Amino acid sequence: MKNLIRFQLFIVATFVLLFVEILHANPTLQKLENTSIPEFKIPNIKRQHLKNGVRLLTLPNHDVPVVRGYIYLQTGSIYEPADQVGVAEMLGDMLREGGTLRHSADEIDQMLSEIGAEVESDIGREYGLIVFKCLKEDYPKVLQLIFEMLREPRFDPARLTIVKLKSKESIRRQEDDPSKLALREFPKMVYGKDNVWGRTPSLASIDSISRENIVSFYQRSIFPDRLLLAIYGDFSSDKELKKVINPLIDGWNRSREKLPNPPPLEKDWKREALLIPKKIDQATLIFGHFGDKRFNPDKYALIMLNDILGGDTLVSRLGKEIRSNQGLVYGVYSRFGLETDFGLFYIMAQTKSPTAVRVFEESQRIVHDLQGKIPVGEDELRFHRQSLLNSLFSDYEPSYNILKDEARFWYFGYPPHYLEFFKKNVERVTVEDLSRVAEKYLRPEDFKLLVIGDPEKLGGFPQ
Amino acid sequence: MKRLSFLFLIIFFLLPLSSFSNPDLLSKGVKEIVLPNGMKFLLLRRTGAPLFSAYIQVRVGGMDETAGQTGIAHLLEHMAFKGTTEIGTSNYSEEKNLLAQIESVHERWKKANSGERKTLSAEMSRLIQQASEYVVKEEFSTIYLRNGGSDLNATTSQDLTSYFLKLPKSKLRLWAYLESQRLQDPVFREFYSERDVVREERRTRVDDSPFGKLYEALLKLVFPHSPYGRPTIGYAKDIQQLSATDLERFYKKFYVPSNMVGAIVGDIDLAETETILKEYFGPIPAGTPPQEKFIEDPYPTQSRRAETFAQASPAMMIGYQKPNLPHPDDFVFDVLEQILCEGRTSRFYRRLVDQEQLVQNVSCSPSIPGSRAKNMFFVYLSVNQGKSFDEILNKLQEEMVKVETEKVSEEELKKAKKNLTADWYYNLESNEDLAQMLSYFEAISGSWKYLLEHPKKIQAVGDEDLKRVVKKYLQPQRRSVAILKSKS
Repeated sequence: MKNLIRFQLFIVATFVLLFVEILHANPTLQKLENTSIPEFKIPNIKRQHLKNGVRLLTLPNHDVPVVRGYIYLQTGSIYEPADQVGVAEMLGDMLREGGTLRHSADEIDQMLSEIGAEVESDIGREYGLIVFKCLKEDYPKVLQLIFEMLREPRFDPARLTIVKLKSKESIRRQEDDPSKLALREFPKMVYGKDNVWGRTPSLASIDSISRENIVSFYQRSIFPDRLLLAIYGDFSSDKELKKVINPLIDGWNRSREKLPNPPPLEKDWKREALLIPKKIDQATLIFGHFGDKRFNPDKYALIMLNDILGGDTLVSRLGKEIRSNQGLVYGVYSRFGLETDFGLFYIMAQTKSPTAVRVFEESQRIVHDLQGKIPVGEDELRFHRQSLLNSLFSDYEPSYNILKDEARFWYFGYPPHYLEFFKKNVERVTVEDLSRVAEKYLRPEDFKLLVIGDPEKLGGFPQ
Repeated sequence: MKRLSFLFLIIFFLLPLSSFSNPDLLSKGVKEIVLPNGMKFLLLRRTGAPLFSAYIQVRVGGMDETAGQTGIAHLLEHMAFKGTTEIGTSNYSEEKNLLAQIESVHERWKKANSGERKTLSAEMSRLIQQASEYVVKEEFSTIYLRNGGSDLNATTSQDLTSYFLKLPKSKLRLWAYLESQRLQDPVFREFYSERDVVREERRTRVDDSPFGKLYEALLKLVFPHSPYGRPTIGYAKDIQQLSATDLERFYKKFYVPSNMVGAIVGDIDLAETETILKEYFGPIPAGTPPQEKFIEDPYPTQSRRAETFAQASPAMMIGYQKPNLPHPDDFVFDVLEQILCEGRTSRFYRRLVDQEQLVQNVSCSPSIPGSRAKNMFFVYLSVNQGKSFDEILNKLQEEMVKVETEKVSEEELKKAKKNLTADWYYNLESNEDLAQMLSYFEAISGSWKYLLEHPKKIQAVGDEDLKRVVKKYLQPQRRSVAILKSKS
């Protein structure tokens, strides 16, 4: 019976027989590499709808007596009022920290820790996420507490004081780490410091947020039809799981209005340079511009282009030249963001202050080269494509990662079995596509540049 | 190697040790293989995804280095990705001559005066440029990646150097070939540019990192004489003086089969895997097992304190020397750490974060920076602006005194043990975690079966054990404190 269930689960979306094609001088290697990548069948995870609009995904696994869950909440800081920046983050923290009408914050902590369960909640720019794990016998109790947090939060004022204090400390501490600071401040240069995609909470904005602000944001945000539940692990059946979940969502009203989309962005290509002074030896550089949108048909070519440019520190063009050949950096990488309303394209590197200019100029040159001087060759594309596709399923061990991805795909509106679609589109990318998208989407002459470092050691850089 | 090393260690050792309560999976499933040359392997078959995770642990780390050559184990780990006589080169016999010439010029450079050094540096640059023409860039990593390798990385700790990755199951033979080759036939090409990479790594992780600087200060304080007091990444001045010749000597001494343990967990056929391992790792010459020589510091008799300054928020680290495994008191610290420091209901968190709001967060580790010698119980506090370090220290001490003088309830003990059990189950879910734990404990304690003993020992820990270890090891006079003060 168990085998039958397993068989039924593993019936769709098969990755088959990707052969490694290489021409080798080394016959030993040639022989060893000439083995096919085994079939990997992605389990058929059904998209289910429960009452009041709650969406559900499940993936049973009985290897280890553990149940994990991922609960997506359709909310985020992009929906915050302009004078309450940070209220979404506060709500995310307070759902977990602030107690419920039935249980005080301390009681919830105590109940969870007695059973060794972990529950964390966080709200980012365009979604909130509650993650939990617990031993199998405890999952009904954990789900019950999570739904109490969602439906009957107490927002304990004493806990709010601590949450605000911790949040402010965390803002201060981001400034201690040049990489974190760069990743926080660079979006402001590209999107604008007050734009919903770029802004971040400040000490003052956290101070100004009241409990009433959080309650009001909660009342506009948390509804069953904006909730996607993904449950993994050692529960006996979907039926049993639904028996636990259904009473928890009973009598919960759907939202009455749609979430307002933020105003669409216009791409702005104004070149700009900024220095955040800090007395350190090493300079942290981040530079780039707008990326593009999630459902752009050029997505697959852009993903390949980014892999080739700076996807992996060791084997990308940036890494091979700036790290391996010149020994200028420990890490250098690029990201091409494809998100709701333009992600970010950026390159990030850290190098001793005197070589900061060189790292910037070399990176700029390497991007330029992709646009015609040294276009991507067939072999280069083949290697990066093999590397991506041959390891595509390796993240799916442990297998809760499959469910995590499926939940994210559904949340963002991808079709079912999206990975198959993804794979086919990556296979279709040609070197001509790469030249075209490099020309169309990369503008090294218009990079916005942020440097964090010691002005005295940087000799006037950046200008 | 590339992305994790130092930070990974900190994170890894801040995780609680797990207690094992599902011995069947391991006691019946793990197959041990010892090759005639002394190399050990642990195999565990787990079906599911057609993949395997592999770990190789070499029992060498920062603690095996001599003063003046700190950082050599870590640099060697970086160089293990540069290829072999067959991989990473277009013509090894030509390249070999040039690499030898580079080393000979470097040896002359070390002894030269500043005038001669300029000429010799130019000569080295010319030879390095010539040698680079034979380099097939990053071929070793490239082979893994195009064959579906992922999570390819390595780390160096005080105790071990670890090489690991995940691969499709059809690539087991390829893995065995590549790993056995890099262990017995590495070529240290591109050494001097990689040394610069490591120098940059140190800047990121230590010199410009408030956390890294503070941790380095604490280690020196807790272990003034033992090698555990030195940074695994190495001091900047030491890294700068290392040569490929030094590396070769260090490699020959420590990279011998009896000093290595491998673990493979995943969708493997046990008999076939054994055959492959014998074929590829069997021919590595046995060599001479390295003699381990290191001194341990005596327990402090007076509290120690150091201050560092950075343009950063205040923080504090505290260390107390304690015995390493398999000392019976070591297990007690695993339980004590849960009670004092793990989660929102722990005593330190409740008092310092919740009730008195003196710190933003507190975390602990029962056993860092290693477990091959006496180590420390570690506490890290991110201190809230304007709060007194001494007040925090006093409150911490009060909490420890309470463990010593008041009964720890059965409920609290039960909760600590339940959390250790749950953690272990969470770690069981991934092949990589299992491969890492099996090889780690085999390499450190001499047998992976230590993992089976651990839960029994944990379950046996009682209130009187907690009292004993607090009294013996956690007194103020045994405390070392490193403080980070904000510099505007």
